[in-house]
Amino acid sequence: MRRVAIGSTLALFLLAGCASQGEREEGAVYDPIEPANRLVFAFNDAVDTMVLQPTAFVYKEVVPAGVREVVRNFLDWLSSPVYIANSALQGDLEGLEHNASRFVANAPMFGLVDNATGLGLERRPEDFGQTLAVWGADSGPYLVLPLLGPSNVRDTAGLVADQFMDPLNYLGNEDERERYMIARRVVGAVSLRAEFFDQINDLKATSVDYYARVRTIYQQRREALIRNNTPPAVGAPSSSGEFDEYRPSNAPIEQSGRRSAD
Amino acid sequence: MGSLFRAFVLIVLISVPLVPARSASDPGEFVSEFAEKAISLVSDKDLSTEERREQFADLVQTYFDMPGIGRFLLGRYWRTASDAEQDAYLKAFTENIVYTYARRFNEYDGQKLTIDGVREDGRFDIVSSRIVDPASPQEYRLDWRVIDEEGGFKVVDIVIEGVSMSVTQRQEYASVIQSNGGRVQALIDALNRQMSGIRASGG
Repeated sequence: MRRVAIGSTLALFLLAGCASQGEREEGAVYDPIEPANRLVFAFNDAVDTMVLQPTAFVYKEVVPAGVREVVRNFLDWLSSPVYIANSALQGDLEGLEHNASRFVANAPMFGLVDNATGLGLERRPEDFGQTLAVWGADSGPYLVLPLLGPSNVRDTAGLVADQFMDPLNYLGNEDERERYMIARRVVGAVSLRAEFFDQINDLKATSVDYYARVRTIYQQRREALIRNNTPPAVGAPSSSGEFDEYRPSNAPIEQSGRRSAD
Repeated sequence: MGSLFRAFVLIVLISVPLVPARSASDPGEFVSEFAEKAISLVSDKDLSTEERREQFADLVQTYFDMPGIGRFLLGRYWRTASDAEQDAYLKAFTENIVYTYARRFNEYDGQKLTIDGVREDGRFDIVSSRIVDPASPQEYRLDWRVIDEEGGFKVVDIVIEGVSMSVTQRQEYASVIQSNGGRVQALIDALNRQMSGIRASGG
């Protein structure tokens, strides 16, 4: 909790000190404090290369896939109360039922085994950042939080609020809570990094601007989660406004004649 | 007249196998045709890495609107680029795409593509599908944005779990060009540098 608070305070401080950028392209992420974000991103990337990636590699090689799945299931199950609370706050009755059923279906095994997915109840993470979006909040400027990674003002606020929704954060004394929270974040990070080990390395190796790539992926992924993976609203000429300007090439012939077509 | 007709039929028959993408009658079928070909290519253990990559490049050229995607990714910078820059960029970008995906081939482990349905989206058709892994309950949603061009369907974008490959690359390219004072050549250099890095690491 303290780390989140420090991260967001720092980000907001930097935000206040920075001038706004010029025009924004369609679909571009609003990133007025890009230089500061890039700095934090570089720090996070160094931590990834030096600490997280080697740890995840060992974890992936040493721990059998079945056990890693148990870890993933358990971490997800621990977040159930937060998912349920946020589904309710979003007024999403179907999501509320979905997440409550998941919680109950996996409870007999303390969330270690994910039987719910087999019953057609897939994972459906909800957080307060998504709830704020459903309530109509704009994402605000893009932020890269130290150690926690890509975020924005809305989702950072959500991160803090989610801590208050988690019943496990009310158990034990403050010291124990702090240790538990850090442990959960660390295990979560290693588990995630191991699950997508090759994909993340590839993302890095094949990019020409890793920072910009992660920034747009974060925004798109968040938007998909906010919509609960349903397609964007119908009625728009094209769901992603960007594709309105798409001009198909008529393949080989186009090569020589394309300038005159402009 | 009769022999002229026969000659015409012959020409048509000869040219048809060269454009297999034009045979599919609906976008879902078209996407699943591509997936089948890609999977059989990846599963063919007799091919060398290089042969596989070359065949994959042909497959991509047939099923994807590469010049159109390339131009789309450059956005407003396309018009500011010179003819030579446009050509160099298209070449570098296509190579980049092929290498990016070819790198992932050794991860293939029996996954299948299931087509769920097709919906219209403006000028496009969106084919929704799922990657199903026989070894794991985890599935990934994959949407294909397909355009019906003169002469057949072409894929213009793939959306994985809500993340569009074209939009992602477009934003990334714009960022590179912007931080280099609007110079398209800077992007071409970056793409070529990155390609030589990937080649040096064994592709």
